[in-house]
Amino acid sequence: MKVERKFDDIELIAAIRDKKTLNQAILFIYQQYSDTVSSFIIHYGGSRQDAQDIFQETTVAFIDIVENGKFRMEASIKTFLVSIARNIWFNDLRKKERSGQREKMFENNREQKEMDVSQFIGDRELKQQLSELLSQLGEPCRKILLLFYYESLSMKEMLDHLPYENEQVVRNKKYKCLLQLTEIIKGHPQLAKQISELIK
Amino acid sequence: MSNDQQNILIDFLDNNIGNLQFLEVGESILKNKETAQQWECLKLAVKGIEYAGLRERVALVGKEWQSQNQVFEKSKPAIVRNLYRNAIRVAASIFLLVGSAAVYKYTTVTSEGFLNKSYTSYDLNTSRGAVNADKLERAYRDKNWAEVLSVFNSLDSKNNKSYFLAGMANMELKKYGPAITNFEQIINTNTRSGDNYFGDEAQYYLALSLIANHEESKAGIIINQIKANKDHLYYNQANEISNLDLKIIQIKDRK
Repeated sequence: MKVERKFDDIELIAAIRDKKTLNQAILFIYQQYSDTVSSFIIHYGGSRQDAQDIFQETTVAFIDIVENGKFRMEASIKTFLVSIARNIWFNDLRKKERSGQREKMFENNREQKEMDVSQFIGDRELKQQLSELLSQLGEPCRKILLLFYYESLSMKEMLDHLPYENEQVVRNKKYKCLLQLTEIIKGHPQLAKQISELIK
Repeated sequence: MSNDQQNILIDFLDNNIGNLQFLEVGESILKNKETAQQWECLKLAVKGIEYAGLRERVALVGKEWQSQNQVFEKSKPAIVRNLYRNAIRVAASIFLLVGSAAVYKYTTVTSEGFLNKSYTSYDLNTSRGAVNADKLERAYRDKNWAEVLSVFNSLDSKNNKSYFLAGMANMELKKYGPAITNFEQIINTNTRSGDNYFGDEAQYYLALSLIANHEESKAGIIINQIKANKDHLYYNQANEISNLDLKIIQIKDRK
């Protein structure tokens, strides 16, 4: 896989919003920004694997922000990515209670004017939790739901990717799979609580 | 809720429902708590599916990118192996000559000599910011290193340039530990801001300070980073630094 073209910030945003060019955009983000973000994570006590994981989650969060029209180009993409990575890494450290590193991070960041991205990624952890529940479904269900709701394929198009005879079978299967997922969500204490609060 | 009712709600979610039924379902969500709960649950489920899809896509592209990088890195040793095989044949015949050269190299390479060769003073006049010279810059141009550090320490607001000049003054005074701190501060600031103000300069002189401070491994990593970046201001200088020389200094320092 090669990047056939380079993007400036505006072109990159446009490429992310178009599903046909999304993979090129993701690859460009990796080529262009992964070193900067990884150096930052490693500098603040992360391993190489941590850096890879955080960069991946940073990229996902960034694309989600762009796709939802929340990125207003108030900062460069590089600055924005580093800010997201910082936020994610800081939260991870807090969860893992690596207090020594956290203190070092505070110490070093104390006098820096930093971009606050929390408003952009406030629901990231919820989305991440929800996405992880999908793996509790069997592979056929997972695939059906992804093809329909993420790839936006029609029932007819989905037939090319699934071992089912006709569209009606796929449609019925999709109903069942989605209901199965809602049951898993209801069985998740934190998410169930959140739903109850939403309908109050 | 019956299965049929749940399926109708899914059709509503998918926008796959007639106008009349659309209104009925909408009203039911507003009035019926059980329907409302199922509706919220369905929306969360779709949110999770969409995010999972995106995560999978990014992971897939990321994996391809990493494997490409690995292939690129692995391809280098393959060439080395072939060269190595040939080199063995040649080395057998000129063993004594190479051995003598190695001994000579080992005895002549020192960190002091290395620094003398790679270090050049940073000339502020020829680079940038010479017009409205402030006190710090004046002291720097006068090569009054102690004054540079004194002015630097008294500054209320420090930026990458002031950190850099302080770092260079520390280097001139052979205070390599503080110089390293100054240069690292610039790199940290740039990492956080995404800028590269005095970044290339700080990187190169940080590498030299690390060598002088007997931290050759760290220096080697930085020098290799510079060598890999043709746009780096110190690309040519870094390429004149031999990894073998660095290793020799490292071995000598361990003794």
